[in-house]
Amino acid sequence: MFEKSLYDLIRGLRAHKGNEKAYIAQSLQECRTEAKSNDMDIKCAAILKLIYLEMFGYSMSWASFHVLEVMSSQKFVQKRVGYLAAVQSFRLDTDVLMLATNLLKKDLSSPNQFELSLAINGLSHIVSPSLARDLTPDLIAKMNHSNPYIRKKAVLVMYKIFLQFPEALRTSFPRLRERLEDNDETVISATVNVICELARKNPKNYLPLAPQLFKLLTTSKNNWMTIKIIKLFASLTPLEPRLVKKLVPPISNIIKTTPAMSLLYECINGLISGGLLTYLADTPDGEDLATLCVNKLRGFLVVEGDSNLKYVALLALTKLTKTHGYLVAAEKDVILECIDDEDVSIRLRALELVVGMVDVEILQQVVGRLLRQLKPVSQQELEEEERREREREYEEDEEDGEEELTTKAPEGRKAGAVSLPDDYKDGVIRRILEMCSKDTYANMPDFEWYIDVLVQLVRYCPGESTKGGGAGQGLDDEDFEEAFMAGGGKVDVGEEIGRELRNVAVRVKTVRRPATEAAELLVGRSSTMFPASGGGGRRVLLAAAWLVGEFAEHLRNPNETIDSLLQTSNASLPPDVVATYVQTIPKVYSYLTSNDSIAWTPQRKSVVTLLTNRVVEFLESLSSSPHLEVQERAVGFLEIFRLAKEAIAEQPANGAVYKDGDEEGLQDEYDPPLILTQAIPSLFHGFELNPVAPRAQRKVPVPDNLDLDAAINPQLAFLLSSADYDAGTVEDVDFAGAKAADEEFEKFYYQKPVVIVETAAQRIDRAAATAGNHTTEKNHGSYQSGEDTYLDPDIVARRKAERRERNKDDPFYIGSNATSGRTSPNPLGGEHFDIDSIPIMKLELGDGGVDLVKGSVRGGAAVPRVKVEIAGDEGEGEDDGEEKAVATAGGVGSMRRKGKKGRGRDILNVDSSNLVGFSLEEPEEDLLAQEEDVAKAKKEVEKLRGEMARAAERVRVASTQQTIEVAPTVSQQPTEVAKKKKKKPVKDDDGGDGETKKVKKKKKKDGTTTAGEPLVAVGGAGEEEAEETKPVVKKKKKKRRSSIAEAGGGAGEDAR
Amino acid sequence: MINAVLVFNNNGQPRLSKFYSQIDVNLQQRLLSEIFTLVANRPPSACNFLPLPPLLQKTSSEALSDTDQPTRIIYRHYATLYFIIIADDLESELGLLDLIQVFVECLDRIFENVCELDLIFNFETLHQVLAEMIQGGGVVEVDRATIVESVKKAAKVTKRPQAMLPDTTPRAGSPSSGRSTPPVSMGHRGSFTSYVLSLG
Repeated sequence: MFEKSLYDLIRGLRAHKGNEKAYIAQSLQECRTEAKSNDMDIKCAAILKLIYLEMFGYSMSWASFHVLEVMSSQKFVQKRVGYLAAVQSFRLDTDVLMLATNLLKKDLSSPNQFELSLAINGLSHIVSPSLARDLTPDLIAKMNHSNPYIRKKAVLVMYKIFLQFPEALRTSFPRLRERLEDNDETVISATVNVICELARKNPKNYLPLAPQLFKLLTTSKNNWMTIKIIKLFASLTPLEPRLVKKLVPPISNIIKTTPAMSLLYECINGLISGGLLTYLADTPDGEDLATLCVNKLRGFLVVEGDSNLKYVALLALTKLTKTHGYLVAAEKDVILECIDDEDVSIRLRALELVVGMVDVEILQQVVGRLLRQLKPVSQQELEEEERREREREYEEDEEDGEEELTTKAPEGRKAGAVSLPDDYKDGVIRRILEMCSKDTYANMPDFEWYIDVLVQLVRYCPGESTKGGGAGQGLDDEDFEEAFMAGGGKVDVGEEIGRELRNVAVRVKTVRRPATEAAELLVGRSSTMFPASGGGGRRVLLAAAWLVGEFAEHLRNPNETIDSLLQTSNASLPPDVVATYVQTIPKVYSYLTSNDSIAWTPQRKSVVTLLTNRVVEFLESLSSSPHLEVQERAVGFLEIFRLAKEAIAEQPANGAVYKDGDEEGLQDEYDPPLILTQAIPSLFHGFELNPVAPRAQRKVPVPDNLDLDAAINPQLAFLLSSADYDAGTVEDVDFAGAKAADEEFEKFYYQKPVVIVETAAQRIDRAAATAGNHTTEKNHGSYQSGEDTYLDPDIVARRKAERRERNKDDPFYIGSNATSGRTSPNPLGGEHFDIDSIPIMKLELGDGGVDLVKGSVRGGAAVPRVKVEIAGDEGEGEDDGEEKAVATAGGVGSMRRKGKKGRGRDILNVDSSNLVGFSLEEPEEDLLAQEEDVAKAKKEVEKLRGEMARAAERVRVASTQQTIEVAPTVSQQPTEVAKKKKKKPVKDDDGGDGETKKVKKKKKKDGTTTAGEPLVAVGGAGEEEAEETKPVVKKKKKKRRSSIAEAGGGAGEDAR
Repeated sequence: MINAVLVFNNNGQPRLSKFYSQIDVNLQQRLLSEIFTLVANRPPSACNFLPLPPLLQKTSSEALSDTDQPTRIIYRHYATLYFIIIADDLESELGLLDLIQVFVECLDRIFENVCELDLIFNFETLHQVLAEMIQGGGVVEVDRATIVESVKKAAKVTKRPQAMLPDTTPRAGSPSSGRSTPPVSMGHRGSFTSYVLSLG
């Protein structure tokens, strides 16, 4: 004997460290020959080895026939190996599965309980529709086996059978129901398990079981089962609200008394997900219950050292926020602690929860905490890191100081102990954006603060997912595509930040200036505003550049900005950013040059010429860009600027010498060239941009006096045309009705819906009022003074300067003395209070003060301490219902698609679409139809015949029988196919009177399919095989008949 | 439904893989390595729930409760081995944690101070124990004594060759040199909280 045993194989593997691959290849080769051996022992050993190797990814699908041989061995040891191999390697499309039916039947009737259990367990893995159909009767019998060991397994395997062969559910349900009364607890538990799975697919069927289940719930001592029963009830309660009242006492009793954490948690979870709390929402009972739950969950959160409980508690609280947000919000102290938990999983859960419960009061606090997390290391550590780094090799510019420090941060972190995974950082940033922008900024107390946060976030952006050419190096279009694909189609987080910045600038007019200035900073100092490594956050420039162009009038320093826009290094930015730059440059240019009130002096002329030349140069360099979008825009604008250049050259300047030759020839007044003052600006003038809801177009209201069914009203034509023209050009229209309509139209389109936000003043007032009683917030509760702990120093400095500037005009503001030398917020310490932490002073005057300042030039002009208008999406609202309907329709559609396509994406998904909506009762109308519509059936048979030809294309013939795949989503597809198959040979068998027989069969079929379902024609190669399959089929037919009778009986019983 | 039970060691080498839905061998391996990457980086103090690996993440944000999607991955780490269960939301997270514990304790009773090597050389027994506990994705038995008894009884039925019997596995004789995972007892008893009290 030279064959290796499994033991030898494992030893061999361990002995061949390093070249296992070769060893395995050799072993596989040996197995191939051994598997063909006539000696069952050798064959079995080979299969066992193959199972072992399969675990490491070496497929053994080729050996399936040998597996079957081993399965049918007489020896239990070998049989067991065979079944194990089948379990591990058989798939639904394994062809030898067809041959396993008889073997399984035999093993299922084995007197040996272990063989029997082996077969049941094996079947639970390899069951196919045809196996399920053929073995159902045997298994139903086993559900009444004398040995509970077999009963529990037989019950459990039924679920797998139902998945493949839903009809079995009708036949076996009465038996299944009996098992709920079994005298063995494990059998009951298994039954509950099966019903629990089934109830999720179609809860309606199992409502009649409620009394039995309820009894189990109150009497059971088995926590495992109680958990399942609660889960089961959670599926049932939405259908039967009366259950809720009944369930609440026992469940709350369990919550109060059980010592098992899992049961406690599942009770709470069941209350939430079963909709019990929602149902009881505004009743005192419901409130009590919800409070009880939240208290228990709080207990979970504060338990020391058990992170699992924390995790599940957060999960439950997240679900609870939807109905009882205020109760959850009351626990914010413990929840916020979890944001900083050392376990990233818990952090993420907490984050998710916090996003749901955040409100005006805690928004800044939460964001502050998160920013502090993102902040790499403390300042000193950072400096040390920096120093070490310098010592190592960096001989870089040291005068950059502060800026450098922050931008080096990511590198420092890499070396440091605290390293957060990039996807976590990414997630945190997204969450921050999400919670800040929630409900159109309903929770935003201070938009300037938000803008600063956004700028800060840019620095914390993780690197781009594909670092291909390294930072600063532009990526190709294709690369970008790939990068997006790799990111799961997610938008780059930098781009998200940019969107927020743009959103704020567009929606909140009062902070448009600061937002534009922030964008200006980003564009202008792009080299230092971003993380040094990875090129993360660069895509924020997309929006920043747009902002700079669109709101050029708010720029702090337009000259410098256009300078930085024209840097040649910009060409290496991502192509879509460059394209935006190309668009932005003319806008800023236009802002700089279009002012015709500035005298056209020689200096002015030369400055403009210089600028134009630079623009032309820059655009020229891009006009051969490989990126189409960039190229097209560049070429277009290039032409315009060349024209401008010529026009400038030709337009003489005031007081210029060369043309007139006259030194004092000031008599000729020259204006700037028209192309600068008129042509280029007109490219960018138009209506102001307002946010518009994505579906707004569909919601343009039909005017009251417009009847769409009537002949087209002249007003409509007017409305349509007026939409194309400026509102001013329509004066000549004379009829009044149109004017009214026009006004309405105007109102709808051009006036913003106003969302009034409570003033920050009132808010902070309130916060201050409550601060006294809130002792827990001592450390994290300060809203303003903590800023410098999470914002970078330069941003903080800017904020302070701005605040000082803003408050200069405020007579009530206690100005910061220049000599006070404020260093750090020092709330405890002596005379130096941080002025910024006393916002109450200026809040007092709130509304009154602002009117005075409103018109002023710069800085504090439009400080949003007053009511901030946030422009909502135009056309938002109203038919949300429809939207939802569409959404759900889409959801269902995609689900179906998934069910059909199967394993591609959702690899572990169990395809249970067969059971969804499957009714236990045979549809009655079908039974009636069956009686009457014989003629119809005949017709259908004809139709089927016609379709047979088409179906034949989809038929695959596999060994002796054919496997049939039917494309359309027919939920009971397999069974129909199966019946069809049976029907065919039967017809041939009966020969002469085939026609009538066929119709009868047809009837039977109708009985088990649902009413309007399309009948799918299959069959095809049936004829040739009839001879071989005859005997088998006959037997099957009989069985089928009896089982259907049983089914009918069962269903009837059930109905009663 | 439980979707899969996996056991692998600290190096990510599989010791047991059982999938309750049929998936391709290559996908199995990919999933295994993705989960290993997730689990290997976790500190011991972290909670026992894993986020879904990329392979299992859904593209769209569908309602979780309506599908059989695996939504939870629960793991426990014993000495050199990770035990993983992937399940959907009809299973209780905390219950599954206990289920792993039951599994390990059963193995411990069968092998007496079970160690990784026991599992390597008796991987068939490992499968048997699991089959007594979980059948086709549903939990069938959680009582340790019953499970152990069934496995032992079944072993008596088999007239298996001596070398295959768990008790006589030549543990010491195996070449453990160059092996990064020496036979270490899992030493787990009492070190974990039980969430489902009826276990005892």
